[in-house]
Amino acid sequence: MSYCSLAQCPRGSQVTIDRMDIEPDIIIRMTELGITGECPLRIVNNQSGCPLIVECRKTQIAIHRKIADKLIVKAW
Amino acid sequence: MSVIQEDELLTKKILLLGNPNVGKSVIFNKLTGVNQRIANFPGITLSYLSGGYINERDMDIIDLPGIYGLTSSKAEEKLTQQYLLENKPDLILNILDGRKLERNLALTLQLLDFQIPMILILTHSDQLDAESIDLPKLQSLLGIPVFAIDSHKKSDYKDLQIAIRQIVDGNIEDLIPKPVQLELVDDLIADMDHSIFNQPVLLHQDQSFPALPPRVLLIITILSGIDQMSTLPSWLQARIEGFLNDRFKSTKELQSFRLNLLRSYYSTAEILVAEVTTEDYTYSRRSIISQLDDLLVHPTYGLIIFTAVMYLTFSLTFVLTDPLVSWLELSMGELGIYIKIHISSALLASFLADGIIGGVGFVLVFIPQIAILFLFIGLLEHTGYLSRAVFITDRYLEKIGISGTSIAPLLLGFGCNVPGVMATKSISDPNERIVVGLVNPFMSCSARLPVYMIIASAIFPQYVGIVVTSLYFIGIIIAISVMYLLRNSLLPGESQYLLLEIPELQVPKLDPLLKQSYRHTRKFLENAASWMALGLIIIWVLSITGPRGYIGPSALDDASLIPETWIYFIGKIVSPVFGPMGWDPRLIVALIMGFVAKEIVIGSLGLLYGVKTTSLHSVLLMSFNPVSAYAFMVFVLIYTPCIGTYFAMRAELGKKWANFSIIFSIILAYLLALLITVIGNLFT
Repeated sequence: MSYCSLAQCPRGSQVTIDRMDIEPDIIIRMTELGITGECPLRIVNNQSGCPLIVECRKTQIAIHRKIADKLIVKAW
Repeated sequence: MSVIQEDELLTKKILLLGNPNVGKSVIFNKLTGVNQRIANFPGITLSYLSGGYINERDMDIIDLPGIYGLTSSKAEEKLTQQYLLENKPDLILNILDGRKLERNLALTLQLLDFQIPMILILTHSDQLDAESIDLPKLQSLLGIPVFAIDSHKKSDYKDLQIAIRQIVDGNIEDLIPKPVQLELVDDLIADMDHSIFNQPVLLHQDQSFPALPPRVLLIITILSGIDQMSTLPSWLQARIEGFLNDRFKSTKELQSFRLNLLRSYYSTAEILVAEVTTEDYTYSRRSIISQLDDLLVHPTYGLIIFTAVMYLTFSLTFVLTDPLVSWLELSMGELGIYIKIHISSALLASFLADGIIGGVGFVLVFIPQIAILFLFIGLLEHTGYLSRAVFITDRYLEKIGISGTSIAPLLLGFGCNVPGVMATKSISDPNERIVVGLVNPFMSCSARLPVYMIIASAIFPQYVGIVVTSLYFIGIIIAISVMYLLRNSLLPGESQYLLLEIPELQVPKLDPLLKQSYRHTRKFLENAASWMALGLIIIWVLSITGPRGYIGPSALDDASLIPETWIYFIGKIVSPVFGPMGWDPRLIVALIMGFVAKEIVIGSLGLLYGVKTTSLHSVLLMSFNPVSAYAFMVFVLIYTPCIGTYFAMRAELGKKWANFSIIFSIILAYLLALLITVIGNLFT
């Protein structure tokens, strides 16, 4: 098991969030969208300069790269 | 302020609620048929859909914007919460995407707290193994009826309609669902009951305040924040706030509780899903869809596809509607002639033909383009492409302080600024919404194209394409510059970081698309077109009267009488201001008329010069040199939004910013035209 920021995760990898160093409002919004600490995330799209697309609870969600940079995840 | 006016209420009120992109609108369309309307929340810019459900029983079915939960921070989502707080519906139809139960059930659990009779409707049942969800068990665990339907299949609605009828006609008290027990909430409620709600009599002093259970009040306050409770009686707000201040020592502690509460809904939803689903409950996107998606969100190919899609949207809008528009123009002209021939009173005939038919005719000519444009925009939305467009453009737009979500209103502006401004309602940040609304008129709408084409083909016959394209680019550059300036001065703020659900790509059904286009077109007619017609009638009055009094309708046909009219008088007064540009007073009058609608600039030039539009070329050659012509076209591009856009701005951005837009754009247009004149004259 390794730790890195979500933005560093390659396409296809499965991760869970370990730490979120982001504003509470953004954490709330992410939680609204179903991204909670326990929920596994699958990286669907990660191309340089673009937001990431992750899949969580069978829903695809675009996440701004600056948010993804601050999400520390555990890679499986 | 009550969110819905009393007179809008029918017998029974049924609320459609669910996450965005679950297929709520399809169900709304099926339940209401054609009997539906867009209604505005009083005093604010967002709208909801409402319709009567006829099954031997009149009901008011209300389709509110989709929400993810009660913490929702978006403007549309807040309104849904506000509606729930202020209006007690008789029944909630909670729509869930059956393929994504876990995510959708989190909202259901929050809605149960409201203790309002509820039916759960699972959509996309056609894409699931029929046995993979134990519906009776889900029904028993939640204590509410559950239906699984294919929302496009008419027969799937039969049982649902019967259940709706039984519930609204039955004893509501027996059907009130019980909230799911969450330890976190229960501990808090225990504290709250002692500290606040020991004085229930106070609750009923204000009759307009719905009797919400204490549990709901507390949960909503924690999830949404005290600001969202501003419509509650002040004494109650103060008490809840006081309780929360006692209970949570810091904002951080309250936020942490809020997050834990939200997470507990999700963990409860996970447990529920585990209990009611089998191993066959799986769903994944088809590989061909995933491959197409990879292309659509690719940084290079995605941008090319986006450009092509936009080009096709706008060009097809005009190509497809051109025959109908021409026919309508011709018919209106014929009708005007018919009236002038058959009505003996010249004044009445002119009022009907030039004022009413002229005004309403202009509006009607717009309708096919608007309807088709809304159809295409609906198509982008219903296929799920709009979210991809937001994704693709976000990285570029954030550099000027706005987010990708602003791209849709800006693109709409190229077709018509009225729907462009109306579409800003989807932007959650208030400052960003105003900025995008203010620059929308710089997106050169279709109405300005005839002005460019006629002047450019007369003055720059070899370079028409380059000249017209350059005007579009000038509009885009000005919009970008103004957005950047406003975001760094009057309306500060950084672009919101993109956090957006990317819904599945799907083939849309025609029926909801047509209905959506019809609703928006009708709304456009009600909001903007009536003002256009009124403006044209005012211009007609100013064109047949003058400082010396009544001239008569002949002033509209006789060029020698035009200098006697008010409209010419106004042009004459204003023309010294435009002295440096060397524009004829008649051009100034045409610009004034263009405030009503930009196409009128060309039509009025023909009238003012006493020639047919087709003979304008020779007149324009005498009135313009290349520099003054280009400066004039840039002025037309920038100066004041048309009257329809102005009123759309008033509705969406407020009177202050609508007025600001007029003053700002006139000053900007003047300065740019002056700059072009000065620089251009240096080289000629």
